[in-house]
Parts: sequence; structure tokens; C-alpha cells
Amino acid sequence: MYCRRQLVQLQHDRPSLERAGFGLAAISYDSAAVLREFASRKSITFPLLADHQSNIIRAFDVANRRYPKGTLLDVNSEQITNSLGDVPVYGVAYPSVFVIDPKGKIVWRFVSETDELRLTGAAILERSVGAISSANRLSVTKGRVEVVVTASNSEAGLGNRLWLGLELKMPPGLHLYGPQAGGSYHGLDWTMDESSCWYQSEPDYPKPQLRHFPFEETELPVYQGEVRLNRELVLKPVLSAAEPSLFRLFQNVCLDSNSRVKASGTVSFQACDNRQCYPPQSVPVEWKFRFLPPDMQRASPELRREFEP
Amino acid sequence: MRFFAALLIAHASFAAVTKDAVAIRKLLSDADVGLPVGAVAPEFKLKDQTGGERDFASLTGPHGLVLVFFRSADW
Repeated sequence: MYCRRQLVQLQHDRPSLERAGFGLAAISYDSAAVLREFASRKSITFPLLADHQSNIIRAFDVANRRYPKGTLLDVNSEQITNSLGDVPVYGVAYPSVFVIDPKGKIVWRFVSETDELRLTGAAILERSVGAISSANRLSVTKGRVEVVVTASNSEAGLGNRLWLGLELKMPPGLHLYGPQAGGSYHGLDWTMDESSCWYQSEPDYPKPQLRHFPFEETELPVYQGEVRLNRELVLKPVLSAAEPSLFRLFQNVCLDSNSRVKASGTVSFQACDNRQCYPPQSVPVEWKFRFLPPDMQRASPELRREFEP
Repeated sequence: MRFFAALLIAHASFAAVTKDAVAIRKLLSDADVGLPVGAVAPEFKLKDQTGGERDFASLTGPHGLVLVFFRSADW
């Protein structure tokens, strides 16, 4: 079910991928009939490719190793039960992305052993070629520093891997200290509020310059001009057959009255020039995502995979 | 009563998790399977949802192709 949401989101992000010069296609071990029915139901127009024998999935080395030949999966609980009526999953792919250049060489890749988490098209674009999305962008100026908040997407579903950005822009002559500065320096620091609604990665801080100042014996790490930080944010994949109340909790706790998820945090820094430092700043930052509900509809019974090719 | 007990357990598992940075790093990491960056992508010719055969040349844009592998559009 996380896959179906991802495919709809890829369709949504397809124009951005095309503007950046990339084609888009998705492969699974489904039959062409399953793909046709799904594409028609969800108006998917980019190519969905049927690798029914899993030959290409194996050639890219992304066949799920947890599912040996003969494995049957209860798709509601995602448990291997090997019971009658369960789905054969031998040859199913790990959720993966390969960015391939026009000559056929792999230039970026991401393979997830976590079944529920899915990259969005815009997140793929930002992470692989640095094409920053303008879908979700806000700007505030504090202590002479402009803080621009970005996100790969403005909509998100459960298990979506979103790519958050913070750009700090300083006028000439001003600098910020890097997170490594230590001591009494207020180094750049980006924290996220604690939440049950999402996971986040640690932020990526670019390498600061080392600069010598007359008031300090050792060189100090600083940023000048513009600095961009990124981190990943994942809406918790709370669909669980064993605990259906988790999704209801998510809806109650995480969604506002307009069905949006809000993620929030703080960026702290101190701006200085060669003569003085300005007061340290703590700027609240937030991102809002329109929530895309999960798609629970399976393929028609007569199309479902019953055998192991 | 049983409902509230179940809700409490759900609440606990819902509220937990997020703090363990090591577990989250593992959860979000690029797995040690799949062809590496720099490898030549295998050739393929597969049917799409319209029944047409597609290969790399028919799918790539001027800067390349984003090829997504997904589990299933059925389940």
C-alpha cells in the first residue's frame, strides 16, 4: 500500500523530473494486467514496467533477500505466514531508486531494506542532482541573517521520505560559527521538536571554512555568504494490521483541522562581523504538508498473483 | 476496559521510537544491496501498462532516467 501512494506521488512530481531532463519509469514483479488496472484507477501515465519473472529486479540485485523461493506473505500483517491465500513474494523488489545517465551508467542510487519508507520524486531530484524544489518555501530574516525554509514536497503520505532544507544567507562581512566551534561560541545548530508523527535524520552541515581571528589563538570554523543544511523527514508508517488504532492515533494527533501535518524545529546561530557579534538568535522553523491518505485498494481478485513464475 | 488497554499500548508504541538516533540512522540508510554507483545499468525490455515494450533508450530524458523499483501495485 505504501507503493501505491509512492506511484501517485511520482506521477505528481513527474513534471519536475521532466523539467530537470529526466525520464521516469517504475518496475515491479506485478503482471502487466495488475499495472494496467492500477494505472487506470489512479491515472498513472508514466511507464510502469512488468518484470513478472523478476529478471531485471535480480539483474539490479534488488530482489528482497528475506523472501526465499516459496515464501507466502500475509499482506495485511506483512508477516510471512505461508498460509493458503497469502501472496507469493519470491522475487519482489526492495523499494529502490537508480538514477541512470544517458549513457547507461548509474550515477545515484538508494535501496531501502525498510519496506514502508518511500522517496518522493522531488526528494530523489534534490538528493541526486541537487535540484531544489520550490514547492514549500518560506523566508524570515533574524539578526541580519535571512533564513529560508524549504521542503521537497508540499504534500506527504505515510512513510514518505521528505527532504528538508534550511538556507542561511548573510550579507557581506558577516559570518556564522560552524557547529564545531565550541566554547562560548554559539555555533550553528538545527534541532527538530520531538514528535510521534515523524522520524528525522541528523542534519548535514556543510564543511565550514577555517578562519583566523586576532582574538583567538586557533582557527575558528565559520560560514560566510550562504550556507545550506539538509535533513530527511519521514512521516511515520503507522499502518498496522495488528494495531489499527495507530493510524487513528496518527490522524488525531498529527493532522490539523485542514488535514495537514506540521513539522517544527529551531535553528540557532550567532552572526558576527570583524568588530562585534550580534545577539544569538533562535529562530523557530516549520514545514506544513497536506496529508495524502493511504490507498488501501488491492487489485481485482482475478488479477492477483497466485503462482510463483 | 480492554479497548483502553489496547489504546494505551498503541499510544506507547506510537510515542516511542523517535529518540533512538542510531536506530533511525539504520532505518533510513542506503542498504548494502543493489548495483553500485558507477556500474553500467543492465539492459532491459519490458511491457508497460499499455502493453508496449519499453527499453532504456525509449525511457531516458536528455539527462538520464529515474528508475524506481517498487514492491507491488496490488498489495
